[in-house]
Amino acid sequence: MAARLVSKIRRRMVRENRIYIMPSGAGIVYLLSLVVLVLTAATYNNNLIFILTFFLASLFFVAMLQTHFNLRSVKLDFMSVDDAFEGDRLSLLFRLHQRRRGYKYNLALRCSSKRWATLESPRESLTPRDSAKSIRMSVKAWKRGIHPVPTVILETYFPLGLFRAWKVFRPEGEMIVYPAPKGDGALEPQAFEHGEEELGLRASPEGDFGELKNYQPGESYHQIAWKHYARTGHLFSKIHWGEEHKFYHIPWAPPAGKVSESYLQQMSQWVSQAVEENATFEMELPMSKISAGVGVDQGKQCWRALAAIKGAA
Amino acid sequence: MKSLVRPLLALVLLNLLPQFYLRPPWIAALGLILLIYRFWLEITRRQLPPRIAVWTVQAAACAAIWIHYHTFFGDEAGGALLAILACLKTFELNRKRDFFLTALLCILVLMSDLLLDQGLLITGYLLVDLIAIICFMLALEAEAWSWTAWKRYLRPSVGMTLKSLPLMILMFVLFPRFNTGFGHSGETTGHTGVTDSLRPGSVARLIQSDELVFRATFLNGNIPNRTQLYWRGAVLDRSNGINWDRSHSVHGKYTASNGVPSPDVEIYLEPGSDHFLFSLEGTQYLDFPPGSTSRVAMRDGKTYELSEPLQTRERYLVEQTLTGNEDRTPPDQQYLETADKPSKAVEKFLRPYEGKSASEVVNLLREHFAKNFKYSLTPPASNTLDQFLFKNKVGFCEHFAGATATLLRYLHVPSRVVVGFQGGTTSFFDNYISVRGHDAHAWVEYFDDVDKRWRHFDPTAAVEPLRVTEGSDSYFQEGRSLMPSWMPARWRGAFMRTRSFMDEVEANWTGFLLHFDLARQKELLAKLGVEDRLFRVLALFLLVTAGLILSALYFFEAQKREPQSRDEKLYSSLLIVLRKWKITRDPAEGPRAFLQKVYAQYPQRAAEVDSILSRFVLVRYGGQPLDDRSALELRQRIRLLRRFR
Repeated sequence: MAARLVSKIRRRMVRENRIYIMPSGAGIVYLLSLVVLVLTAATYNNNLIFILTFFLASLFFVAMLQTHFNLRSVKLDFMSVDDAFEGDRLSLLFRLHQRRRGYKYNLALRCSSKRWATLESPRESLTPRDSAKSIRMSVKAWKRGIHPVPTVILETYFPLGLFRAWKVFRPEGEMIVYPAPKGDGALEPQAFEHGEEELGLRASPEGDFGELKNYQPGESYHQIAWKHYARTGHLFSKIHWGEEHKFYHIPWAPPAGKVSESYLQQMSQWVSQAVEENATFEMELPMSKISAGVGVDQGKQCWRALAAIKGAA
Repeated sequence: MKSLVRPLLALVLLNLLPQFYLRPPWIAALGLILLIYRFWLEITRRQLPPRIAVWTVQAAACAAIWIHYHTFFGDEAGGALLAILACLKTFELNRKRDFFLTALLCILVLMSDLLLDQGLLITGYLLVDLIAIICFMLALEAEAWSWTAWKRYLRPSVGMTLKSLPLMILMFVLFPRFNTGFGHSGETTGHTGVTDSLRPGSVARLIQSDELVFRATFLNGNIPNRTQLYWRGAVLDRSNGINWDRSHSVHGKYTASNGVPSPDVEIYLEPGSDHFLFSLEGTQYLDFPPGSTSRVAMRDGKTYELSEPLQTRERYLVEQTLTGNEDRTPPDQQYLETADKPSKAVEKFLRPYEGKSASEVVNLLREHFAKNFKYSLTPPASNTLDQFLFKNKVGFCEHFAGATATLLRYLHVPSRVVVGFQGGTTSFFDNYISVRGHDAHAWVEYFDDVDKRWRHFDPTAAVEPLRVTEGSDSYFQEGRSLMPSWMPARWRGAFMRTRSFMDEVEANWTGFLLHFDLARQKELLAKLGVEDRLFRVLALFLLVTAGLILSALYFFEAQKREPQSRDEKLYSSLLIVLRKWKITRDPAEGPRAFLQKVYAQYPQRAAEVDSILSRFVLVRYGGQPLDDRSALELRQRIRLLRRFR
């Protein structure tokens, strides 16, 4: 209750797109050494050390101004986020842009939330030439579900690392985290549909498939023709020919009628198995059913449905 | 992070450089060895030594410093410790924090250097080092360094330095100087060579020294004639033939009288110049920095000295008031005592002088010396009075002074020998006099029983007047090896002038640094009409003006125009030319529509404008950036357009 109140107050107080600035850890150590300097100067009545001290002190203030200006008129727009399995990385895409063009150095992006641990905090600089740049950040998908995009912080320590200036952004959007595909429950195909192709075509140099198509983001990694990628540098998916075509029915039968995370993970595992085998499959849900389909899109639909299930123990 | 190791090593090396000049050689050498070893590890990509080894070296260095200084604190030991620690810190660079801490250590090392020296050279070094430290901090923040792109770091760091200056000056002037109450003590070494005793050769030894002893500024602007500048250091009262010593007279504490008249002379004693305080004849009052009056003692014959010598690097300011009052202290019996009875030869020599007044005796002695004696920098050894007076007849100032004073005592004239300095070199802009080791001198003072006052008598001036009128600087020119012998004669003058000029700059700088204290702040505020509540007013002033400066910086930064590329600058220079032709481009006007206007108003020039403009169109929309040559050509064409009309 109290925590919710605190976060509510903080939401009110901490505005978006406003520059906040505080001395960094290094800045505080720097200030402490300034205290040492000023005490030494006074003890020895040494004006040159006073000069050194005051120079470093005014440098501190100049650095503060520059840190502030390094973040001024810089804005962050949320573009998109890819779905991910629990425990994987969620990749968020933002657009960094500036109203007044200038040099902005070493802007780092990270997630303020402790739950959404920032895996990769990009550092980006802007020049007068580029008014906008795309910037990608990834966080760890810590829990299955459909979550609002967490608060992100755009921060900079430029120029001397003595100050940290930051802006808070609260992007509007959803992040979908699928259950991790785990579990060893077997799923037997309901039927086989044999392909029409001749087996002879399998004797292609790439192995047991016959054709390549352009790889689409989101398709399983297992379909990528890695050997081909190594040779050419282009990503292609393998289309299996002449393979037997399976049909799966993924049931909704949680043990003892209790919805548990581990059962959802098992279902996720089945879906990914079906997608990998390029089988046609359908999936049952407590109140509905996802009708039969094939491929990654079908898989996504199922995984999203699994992500949306609430109240799993 | 890896690319920052070498710049950091370079920075630490830069901070090690002054140690060679300021500290015992072993400290700088140890630091250098550590750095070279670290650099070797870096270029051969070897593993760093285990932490325990670093700690061992650290402990050993601490022990060595303890053995050398018997403390870890204070300006000498603390600074040495910091310098070694900065070098050792380069062996544990794991995280960004370690790099930052090493840079901070460099700042502290710099601070400890400034405790030992505040000269012009170290001030220049301070500036260079600060810019280097800022460069490094910039690189550290960017987590990248490239030796070829050093300008990328140098420019912003110089910019930040310049932006910091106004606030720095403000703080310097207004920051209340407080006293922490911690005393400081350090090693002391006297090097003026002025001593408590006078032996043949003791002054002659000094004339080889070119070391600065003190600088004297005459506040009324008139530097007296060189022949009047006798800087008294110590009065020797015990005669022993040609040798003289100082009796251990009771030190009287100097009591500063209130309401000292405005000073005439300011003397900046250089660090390490022993405990003598030099003053001109007729000096009435001395004024010392606040809080140090207790260190000053008064000795016989109106000389002053510090109860303990100046510290190794301490500078000291003495303000003096010349009243021209003579010393009328009646002489004690001690000023007539001699160690031995005069020898037969001396008695015979003195017979014609007996019964004459003191001033008559002095005049006769002056004549005698001028006629029969010679002045030499390398006189033959004269260990006794007889040897000097009757055999060698060649001497240096201490011979003449010692002999004369003893002869005067034999004739019952109270006398004493004064050691100190004579003359000095006038500065480049005639602002002050700098007195160096080779200005050392010894002379005689005797009590004139007619006037009832002490008078001064310089027998050396009788033998060799040039030594006094020309000053030791030019007099000893030939004999001293101040300049390298390969230097052509005509360069020597230039060398001397340059040195004199640099000395002047240095004197002003150190004088300023020494001068600006709480008293000056009070004076400054008094001028502004603030008399009391000094600290509060200073603090308030500081806050208000610092706020003003910061907001000025803020607006300066906020008003900054968007930076333009070279091509954009060229384009706007074309627009400026056209604006002079009264053709302005509307914000949303494209180049074509804009050209129409040019064709309409200046048909004869429009073709040229057209061709330039179409080149810009290619740059902007055609993806054909200007190379250096075509940019230069375009610039010239635009310049030609400007000449038109």
